[in-house]
Amino acid sequence: MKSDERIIRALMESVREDIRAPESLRADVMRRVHAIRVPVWRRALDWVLRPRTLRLSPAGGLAAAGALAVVLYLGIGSMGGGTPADAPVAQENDEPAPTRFVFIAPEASTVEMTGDFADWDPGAIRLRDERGTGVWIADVPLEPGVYQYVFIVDGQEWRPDPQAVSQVEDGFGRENSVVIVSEAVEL
Amino acid sequence: MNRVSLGSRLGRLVMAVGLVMAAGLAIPESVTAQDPDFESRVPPEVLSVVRPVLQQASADGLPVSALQAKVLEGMAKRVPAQRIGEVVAGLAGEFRAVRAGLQEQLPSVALTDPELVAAAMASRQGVPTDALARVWQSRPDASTMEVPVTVLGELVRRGVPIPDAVGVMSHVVNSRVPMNVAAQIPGRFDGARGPDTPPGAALGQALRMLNIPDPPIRGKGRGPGG
Repeated sequence: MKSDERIIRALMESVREDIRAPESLRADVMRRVHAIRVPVWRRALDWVLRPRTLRLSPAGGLAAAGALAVVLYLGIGSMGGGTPADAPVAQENDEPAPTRFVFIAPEASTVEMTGDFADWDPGAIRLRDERGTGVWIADVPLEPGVYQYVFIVDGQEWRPDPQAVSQVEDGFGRENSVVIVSEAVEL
Repeated sequence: MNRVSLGSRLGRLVMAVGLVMAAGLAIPESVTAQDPDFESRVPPEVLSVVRPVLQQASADGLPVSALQAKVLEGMAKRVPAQRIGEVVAGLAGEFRAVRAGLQEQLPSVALTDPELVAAAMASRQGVPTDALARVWQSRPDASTMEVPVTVLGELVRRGVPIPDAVGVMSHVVNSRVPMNVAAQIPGRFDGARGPDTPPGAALGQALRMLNIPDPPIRGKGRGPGG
């Protein structure tokens, strides 16, 4: 046999030999696999994204659909709808909600009002009688609190409000009316 | 040429500045805390009468704005200056008395100005201090007591027995009934009150009209009105 043939034969035989891994290879590889830490979020994400097969009977499917419909109905219903009848409308700006004052004086030419919310300036607030019926109205923005006030008829006659929640002595021999302005919405 | 001792001059200047600053700190706040806006609207004859009262009230931590409002009210109603001074001094005295009475029973209570003003008005309407304190004690949080105390005073003024009024308002406060609902109690009471309807019964009707749950039965085994 020529030398070249012997070399080739040796190479061929070496290729045919079974490759045997060392006994410790498997253990070494598994030890390195276990050492790799997968973040919890990644494991959770993999769990969520992994497709699964859901088996559901027709009856079970109908029940699930019905339950979903109820949930959607209740959810949509709570988002929409109106406000309670006695809940004041929220202001879009930062100004407090106006408090309406009404004074009936058919004989009056002018009606003004003042109080501690106006530093008792006699001409601070002028009521309006737009329809000429003697029903005078003013809308005054007031922060929540308790206020005293009076009406002034024709610039001269100071009168309490007969519709007020209360009349209190002013200490000067007259009476002031009291209004309670409460929070717009209590949560 | 005389030599100028800059060190001694500088030292005297520093000392002078320090003395002025110390004097400024020593002057009572009641004197220095002037209200130019308020005083510009008050004529001298009125200001001379009310200023000492307002200064003392400020030093005592009383609701000065409420006292100033009473001054302006008196001026608007053309009340003589002396009378304005008397009324303002009397009001300040009411504030002191009510605050002292409440703090004696509730040492940890911190009264806001609106609460103290409302408590003074309720006291004037016939609510004793211990009744005010009982309603205050029922407060479950730091929400203002201005409206509940005002309503309490209104009920007592309308003839509701004090225990009934206190029981109802304590219940209203403790149950966190919205204040826009509580504020309607006096008006509803007026609507329910008739010649044959005792105040307690009218109060019970008022609560039902406002959907306010009945308060716990009082010691005598009955709620308001029955």
